[in-house]
Amino acid sequence: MKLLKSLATAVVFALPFAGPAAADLSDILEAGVVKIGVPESFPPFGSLNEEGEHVGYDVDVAMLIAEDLGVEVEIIPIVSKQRIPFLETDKLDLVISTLGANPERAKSIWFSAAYAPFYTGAFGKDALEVESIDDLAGLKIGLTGGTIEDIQVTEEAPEGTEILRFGDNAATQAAYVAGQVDAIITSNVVAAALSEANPGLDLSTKYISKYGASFIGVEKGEVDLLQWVNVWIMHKKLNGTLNDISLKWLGQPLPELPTF
Amino acid sequence: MKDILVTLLGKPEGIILFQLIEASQFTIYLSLIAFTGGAIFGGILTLLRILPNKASQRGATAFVWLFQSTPLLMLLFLTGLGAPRFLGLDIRPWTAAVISLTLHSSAFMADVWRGALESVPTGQWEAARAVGLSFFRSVQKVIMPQALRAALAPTVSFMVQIIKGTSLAYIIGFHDLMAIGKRWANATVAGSEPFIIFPIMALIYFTLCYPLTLWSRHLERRLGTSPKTLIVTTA
Amino acid sequence: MDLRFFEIYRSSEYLGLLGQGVATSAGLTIAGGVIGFTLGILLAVTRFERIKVLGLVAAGYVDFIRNTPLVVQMFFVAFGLPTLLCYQWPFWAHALLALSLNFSAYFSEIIWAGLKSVDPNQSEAANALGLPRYVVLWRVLLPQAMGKMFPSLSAQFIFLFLTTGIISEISVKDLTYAGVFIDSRTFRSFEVFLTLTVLYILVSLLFKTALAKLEQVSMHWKFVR
Repeated sequence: MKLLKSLATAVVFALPFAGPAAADLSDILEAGVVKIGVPESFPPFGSLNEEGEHVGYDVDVAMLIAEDLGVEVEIIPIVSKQRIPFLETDKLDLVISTLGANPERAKSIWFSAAYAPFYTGAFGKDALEVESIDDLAGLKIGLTGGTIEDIQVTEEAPEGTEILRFGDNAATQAAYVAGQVDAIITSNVVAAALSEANPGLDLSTKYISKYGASFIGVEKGEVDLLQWVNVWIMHKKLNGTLNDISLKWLGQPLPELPTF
Repeated sequence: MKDILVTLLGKPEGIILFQLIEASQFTIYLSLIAFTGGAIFGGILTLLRILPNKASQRGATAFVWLFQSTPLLMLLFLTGLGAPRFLGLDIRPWTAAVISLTLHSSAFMADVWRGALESVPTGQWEAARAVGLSFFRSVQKVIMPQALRAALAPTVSFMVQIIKGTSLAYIIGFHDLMAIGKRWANATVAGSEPFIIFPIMALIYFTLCYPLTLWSRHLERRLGTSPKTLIVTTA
Repeated sequence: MDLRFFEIYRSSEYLGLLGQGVATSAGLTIAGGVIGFTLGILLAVTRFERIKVLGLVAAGYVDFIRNTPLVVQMFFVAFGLPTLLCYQWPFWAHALLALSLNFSAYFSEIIWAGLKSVDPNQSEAANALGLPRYVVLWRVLLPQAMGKMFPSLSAQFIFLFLTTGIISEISVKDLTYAGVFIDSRTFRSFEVFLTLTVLYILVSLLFKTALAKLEQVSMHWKFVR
């Protein structure tokens, strides 16, 4: 009897969590909610503010998408290495989290058009003499695992570079602030936000290696959803909304973005 | 609730505490469900082990060994990321966490049950059979009540292990106390530094676990414990 | 549903990472185990001898560590303490510290139970012989306690080894880290984590054998026929 009661309780507890993530456009519209992955702690793209709310460039984009879809949005903060696995395993419908596109990733997921700029580079102490990736030899470099810069730097860094891969962006930044690494590889606006958050921090731009962009990640095969997202991006580019978001969070107008 | 905390502690701290406590409910739900599942499966495994059937005994023992030797983190990765990718199934973090923790708990609970059963004097079995009870009736009426008494303390103390185990589920996207706490610790908001957040989280976990530890010790004193389970499950 | 293990095994880079991961995981666990064991003895003795305030502090410490998750302890040690006390260590050092502190609590609990279970007559006899207390502890009580508790201690050690995978979250290049890295490059999660599981099981079996050997060698007096 007690066993039955426990089982019943278990089922009751499990019920509120029933219902898988539906990546199909019509499923999303029917379910009335879209699950979007955003950066957990990567200001200005996504982070917690004083009110305990999630805010940022990617978060704004996510909320606008939900608004235009006419559904509720479930903002799911995730870390870099979770983006593609969670999208692939249906834990998310969309990934709007400074996702870069490369052929390897394109084997597993689909990318929308670019919606935001994302320039990565190396940032380190003023005294450091680093002009390009080849000067990184002998230095300790911090970066976040599971990102495009992770793949790029791992491939191109010279012998003797010590690469420390962290579980998420916050750890990478904390490591730099604590002096655990000589330089970090990250986005230029993120470095700017980091400087702002830590006044007096010895952080200067060494070089910008990649003029890239962020794309919205869609699960492979979801044609309707991908089409819709691309139309949305084009629409928001044309009517200036994306430009407004860029001004708000990056302090600069939306630059020319790469197209397929 | 949120407003009380905010007025008491000020802006980020009040909100942080509220969100942490709110997220703890998922930790508790997961723990309870994993515990129930683990106890049930553990019981089934034990039954399989005492049945006079070689195959079922070997199978159950192998299962117990396997899931005691597999790190919980690996189970979470396999059910949360591996199986979904491999089978193309949609396994949500919640489900994956429940499955992992239940499998993990059942292996250890099986040992707890076995120790408890073995602590019942063999004379009881013989006496029950001598009085004419069948195998199942002996188990049900004579052995089980005594075994349950011996199993109680280690079972309660294993619950502590389960609660601590839930702290790994954040890696596969489970939004519980650990996930929310880590998110705050990562946030650049003043007042949410790691050296503030993590001690608070430790305190919350402690508040959940310590009463169980104390209760388990109390039970040990009153009901005695089976000596074989002194190892890892005693909190 | 296609299984492709070869992608992992064909690449020598990945195999190398896995090998390095095994070495790091095992190494850090052993180091943590040794430090934790030493600390554990100190804590256990402090409690057993009921040394005024220290005994209570030790008991409180042990209870606190055993009732909070390793993850939280690890993150605090790696990110909270350094900021608070202004020091910088490489991440494996943070991991080692966290593991040592964690292990010490579990070991001390077992050792303490072991000390309590030694026949009190032993203690009385030793005292009657006029032996100083530290000799009584070191030569009479602890060896017997160890003898009784060795199986529990080694089982606990292996159990704790299985929990060390979490140090990958603070960028320590252990076995789990290697797996996560390979997964992020090949997207073959199932194969990768299955391989990791097998490796963890193999290493724990190795530990089990080694510890059994250790028991035979160091406590030959237990095996006298």
